[in-house]
Amino acid sequence: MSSSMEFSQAGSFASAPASTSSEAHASAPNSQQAMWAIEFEKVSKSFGAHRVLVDLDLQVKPGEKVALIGPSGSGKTTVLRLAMTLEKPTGGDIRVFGESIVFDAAGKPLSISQEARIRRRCGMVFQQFNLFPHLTVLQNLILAPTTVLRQSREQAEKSALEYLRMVGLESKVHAYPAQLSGGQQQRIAIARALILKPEILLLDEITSALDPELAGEVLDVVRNIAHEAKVSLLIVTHEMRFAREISDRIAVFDAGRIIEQGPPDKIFSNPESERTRAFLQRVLNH
Amino acid sequence: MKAILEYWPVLAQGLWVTVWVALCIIPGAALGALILGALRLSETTAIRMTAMLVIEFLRAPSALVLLFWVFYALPLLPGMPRLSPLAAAILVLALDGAAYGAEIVRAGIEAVHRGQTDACHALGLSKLQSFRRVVLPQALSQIVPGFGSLARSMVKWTAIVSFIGVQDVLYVGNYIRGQTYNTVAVYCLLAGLYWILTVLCGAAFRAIEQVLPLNRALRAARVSTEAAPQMGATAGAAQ
Repeated sequence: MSSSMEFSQAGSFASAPASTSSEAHASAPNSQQAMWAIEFEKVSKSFGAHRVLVDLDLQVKPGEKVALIGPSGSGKTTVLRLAMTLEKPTGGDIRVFGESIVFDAAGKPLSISQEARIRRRCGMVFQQFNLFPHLTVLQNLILAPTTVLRQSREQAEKSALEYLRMVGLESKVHAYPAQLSGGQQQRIAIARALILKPEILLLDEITSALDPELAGEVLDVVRNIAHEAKVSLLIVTHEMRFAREISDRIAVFDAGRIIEQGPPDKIFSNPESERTRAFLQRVLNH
Repeated sequence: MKAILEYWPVLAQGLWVTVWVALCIIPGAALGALILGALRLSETTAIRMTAMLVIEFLRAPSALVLLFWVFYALPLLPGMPRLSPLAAAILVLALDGAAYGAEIVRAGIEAVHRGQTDACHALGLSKLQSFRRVVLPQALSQIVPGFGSLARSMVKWTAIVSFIGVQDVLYVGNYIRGQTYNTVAVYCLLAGLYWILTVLCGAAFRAIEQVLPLNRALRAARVSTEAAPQMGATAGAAQ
């Protein structure tokens, strides 16, 4: 897909009236907390005896694009899974626009409905795409709008076609995922996440399962989202050039901690940590 | 053989009872299996354990003992109803089928990739919506072939209803044998009838397999791959 892909609809995404999630969340608790789109405060996560994250502190501003890089197993994907409430932290707190996704106001674990309401502000795209193979592309896109947001089928389909145009796949509307290439599937997965108008988009190694040729078309789509949309991006990636190009800030992970973070140019040209330098040398010389 | 065929009206009636019992117990077992199989995977330990105990309790005794227990012993307990032979037979066989089917359902649900439920969660679907709209439609492609095999067995299980006086095809066959003393012909005929019934049952389940959503999607993909071989290298890459 060429980088000159028609992105007229991306603009409508960027300026889309936040009719679904934003209005519902207009009453953020207090303005100081609400300055972060997402905030991790002393977050730990263990699986049995294995500590994956250790006292993680990370804040992301609304609209900010943050890339998480680091060796495999350093806890990057766990950060995204925690933000999406696919995992519960062992310790610490995570707040989305000031609202905890772990505890309620009384410090008790969130109820299912409270959690569902807050997690609607986040969307996630997975390494393995995770499209629903028994549904067509259109059905994949309208499932959540019709069941979760209770939109009418017509309204959801209209919106689905806009997002399909945005990722350049309107011709595949009635295809099944198995009829598409990996790159096309991932672009559909991105459209499926965007249709819910998330304010925070979590991208988990979205090109790792793809050939370099197919990865390019997916990265083009993300580039355009990053440029056009006001959504905050948390990106776990091994594509260093892409991370450098797209992000406002890079956080380098090692052994469950952020060992260094800063603007891409500084991290790539003048890293402070010896471990960052060693990691970058390994991946860039690969 | 000619003597036996003179009994065809009563034989047809017996065959109809067998078919009717099978038509009741197979959907009944399917429904029970879906419920028990889903409960067997509940995150709540008490529900999971209860479902497991029910399954083990139903599978433990021979179906015939369970049938005798429900038909002869249950009415002796205070407040328990006396069921008609047909009702007792349908209840016991459907429950027995549900217990065996529950394990097929459990395995089918567990075979659905974890990423599917992760995607549902990320899209905001509730657990029930995710089960109904995403997990179950895919799991059915695993469940239906296994359940079809169980259903073929269940057709043959129906023979035990003759032990409590339900006049199914076996009951009628035994009656004809008593009248004609033609043991070999009667049992060959019965074997042939059960064979036809199980073949029909198998065919019905194969037809159901054809219309399952995931099978339909994969068939469409196969067709398009064959039509456009150059897509072959990329189609279906990661699901």
